[in-house]
Amino acid sequence: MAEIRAIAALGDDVLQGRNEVVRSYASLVVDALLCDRSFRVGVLIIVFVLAGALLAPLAAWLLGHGPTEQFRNTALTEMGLPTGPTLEFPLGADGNGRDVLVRTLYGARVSLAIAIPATTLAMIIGTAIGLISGFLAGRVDRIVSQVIDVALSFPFIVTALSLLSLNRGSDGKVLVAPSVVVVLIITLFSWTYFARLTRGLVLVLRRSPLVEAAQTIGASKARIIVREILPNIAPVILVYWAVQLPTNIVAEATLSFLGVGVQAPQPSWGNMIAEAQRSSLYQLQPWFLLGPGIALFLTVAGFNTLSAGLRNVLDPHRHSG
Amino acid sequence: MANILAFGTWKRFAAGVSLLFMAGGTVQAEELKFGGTLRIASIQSDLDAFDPLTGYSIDSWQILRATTRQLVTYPGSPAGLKEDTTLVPDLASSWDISDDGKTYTFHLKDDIFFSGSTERKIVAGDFVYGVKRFCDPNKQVAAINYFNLAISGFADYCKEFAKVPTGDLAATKAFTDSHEIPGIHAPDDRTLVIKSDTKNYDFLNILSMNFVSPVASEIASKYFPDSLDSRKNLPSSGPYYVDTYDQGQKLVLKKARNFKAESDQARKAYVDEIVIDFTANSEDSVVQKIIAGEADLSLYLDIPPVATIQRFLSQNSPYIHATNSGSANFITFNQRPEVKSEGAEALRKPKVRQALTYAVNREHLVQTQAGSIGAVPLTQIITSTILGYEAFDPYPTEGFRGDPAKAKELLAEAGYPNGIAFDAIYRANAQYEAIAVTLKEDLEAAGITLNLTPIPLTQWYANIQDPKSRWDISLSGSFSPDWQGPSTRMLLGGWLNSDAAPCGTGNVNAICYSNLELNKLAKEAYPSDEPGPIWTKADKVVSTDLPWIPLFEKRKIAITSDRLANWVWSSLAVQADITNIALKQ
Repeated sequence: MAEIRAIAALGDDVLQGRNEVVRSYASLVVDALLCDRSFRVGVLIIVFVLAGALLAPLAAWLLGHGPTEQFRNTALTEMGLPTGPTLEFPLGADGNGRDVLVRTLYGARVSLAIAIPATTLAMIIGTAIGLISGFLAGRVDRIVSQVIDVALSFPFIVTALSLLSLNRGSDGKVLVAPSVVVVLIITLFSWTYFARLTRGLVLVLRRSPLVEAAQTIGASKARIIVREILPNIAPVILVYWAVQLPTNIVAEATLSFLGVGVQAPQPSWGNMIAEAQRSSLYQLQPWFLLGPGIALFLTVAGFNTLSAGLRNVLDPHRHSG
Repeated sequence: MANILAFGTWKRFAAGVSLLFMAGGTVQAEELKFGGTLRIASIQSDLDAFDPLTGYSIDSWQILRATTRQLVTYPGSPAGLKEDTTLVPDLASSWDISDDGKTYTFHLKDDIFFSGSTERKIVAGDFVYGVKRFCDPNKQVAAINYFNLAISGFADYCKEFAKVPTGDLAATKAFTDSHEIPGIHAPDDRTLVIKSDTKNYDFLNILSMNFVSPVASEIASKYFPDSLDSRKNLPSSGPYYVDTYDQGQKLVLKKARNFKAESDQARKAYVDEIVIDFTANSEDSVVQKIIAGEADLSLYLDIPPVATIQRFLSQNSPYIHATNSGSANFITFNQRPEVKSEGAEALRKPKVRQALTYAVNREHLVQTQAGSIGAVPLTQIITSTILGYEAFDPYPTEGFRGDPAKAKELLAEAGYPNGIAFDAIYRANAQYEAIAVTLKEDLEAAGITLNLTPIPLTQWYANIQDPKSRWDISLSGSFSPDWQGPSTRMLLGGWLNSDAAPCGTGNVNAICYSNLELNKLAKEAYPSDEPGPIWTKADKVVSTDLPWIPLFEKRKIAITSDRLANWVWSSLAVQADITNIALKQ
């Protein structure tokens, strides 16, 4: 592993002429990743979750149950108690006679559709700010650092609840779709982590021979940031993306759990768990809670394992291999 | 399958109920014993109000039943809320009514005392002071409209009182000492005279609410109404007084030494002590405490979780009680004349409203409320515990399941052959969300699309009262009677009567409905000695016209520990009558 890093540090330009001896950086990385068990397990779980999300309509079609469709006559007793797992309802029904399996699969779409854009957006914004702050240093860096400190000091839940309640016009109607607001709120709270990380990395790199060499040949600041620094920190940032994603999936679930995220009757893991908990129906129909609960656990575990694998291979500061 | 299950549940329910009566019968025969401590577990961490002036929730009334008495009251009933509507003398032993029906002269009992911070005799002047406090600018009585109507000169007195600065106890005392309300006075310590400008058949019912309690002015005037100090020190006029009050922890009520159960027609006061525990904090833990026998009754528990209800029923437990509550849920419309959205315009057409009522599947909605033990389908405006009720269904469908085909037909006739969409708001909590998503699914089958918008609970009233709010229909309309029986005034004479509740900012529920025929009938009913049939007629008029779509009437379900020796409903508290419950010894 140590050799791969040493060679990788040379950059692809250097490697190009020596194809016969050393393969390209990318293929080396892929090979190393495939050898890593955490990465393989992580990918497997994520592929499983993604397949579930993509195949949700197929499951709905096969079972004949839409995600919001209620089957009050067949899935609920007269008192409104949901049925447990049967052939017709593989994970049983929820308190409104809806199919827990179908809703869990559709819930995966919501979780990923919110967490992936939110984390990516946070990564782009955070990295851009971190690059500028770290590279320019001095006064700019001090101001940006202060801004990050202030942003980090906001409590997530309280700020999110206030922002979501502001999303109402004078006529009581929501101004922007709540899911878009949730994406923006999660972005608002996670860009700082990317910015801090990037800034730290850049502060070290800006004094490195690599940057000094570029400066001597008269490269512009923009060119140095984009061509010299960014490629060097990108792998670490990508690892951090996979670390932050599960946190953001949980953030979405938390907001939906509190009733301000994804709105009923659209399913999301957070509001499904909230419903099971509020109605105490999980005592009779445990799958009402276990369905979305296990799905959330799997997804978070999958991305965490994947990020552990990525870090093993890509993070130059780790010397586990 | 569903039918078999339903039948099974019903049978179990019926068996449970009959067991209950058997159990009740045996204990009654053995004679109930005095003594013991009744323990109540509260979900909320404190009482929302604990002063006869401000208490207006059924939960605060459940506790105030023990610490206040009125002129007249209801004695409680083991059978149900509807059975607890006969007034009996409370602190008054008798009363005379003038020929014109406008003046009532009450004669107070002789052996009635305060307890707690003072143990002096209760006199007629304490009632006068209690009423004078009603419009204290520091804290007003919760239902002031009733008293504007019931007591001559009350409104003018309040107008004057409003000029007194708030936060100044001395100024408040100076005002109440120097001003009188023409409609209420005490010629002597045992006589109280109350005069109204109009004759009202429900005058005594209005006086039966906890607001009209005697208050010891020498103590009450030292504190701001319902402040913590006032809660701790206000003397009790009921069978129990406040012994200790640790906010957020517990409230201990002890039986008053000078309470005379033999001369009280309404309260037996079996237990020696009532302890309210405020530390449970969640529905789950309150229910668990009751099941484990650590608490006997609940407070602030609207309805036990379905899983718990099912558990009690399946065990044929005699410790679950259910009764029609008179409370009901409705779909209401934004009827403000200035609203011109397509949905609101459409709802002005009777056929669209009829289509809506046909599209509703009430069987499904009842299921969201724990089934037939938790609710009954409602097809008219007034509910089963209220004067004038006579079952009426102008738009019947089989098994209350609705008729989407008929709804579509009516929509087409009204000019909407391709269906219609409404902007629908609902209160954002679990109970109303279940109603909203169920209605959305069922109405879709009739070509009616609901665009749901949840409104946070704290913004609900502000939102529906704001004329700029954009909504066509509200899925969270609800009504609870202030008292059971002759309270038809509230709905047919109040909320829906455009003479009493004109469209505008004061109209809390933003109803803006006007039906001259209803207004005329209400006017006839108030002074009538036989108002029942008039209200029945009025109910038929509005239930056919559909100012709202009635959905279901809720039933109150209470669960108790097995330490209770009997069960008594209190109609005002819509819960256990804690002054008439005895413990097994």
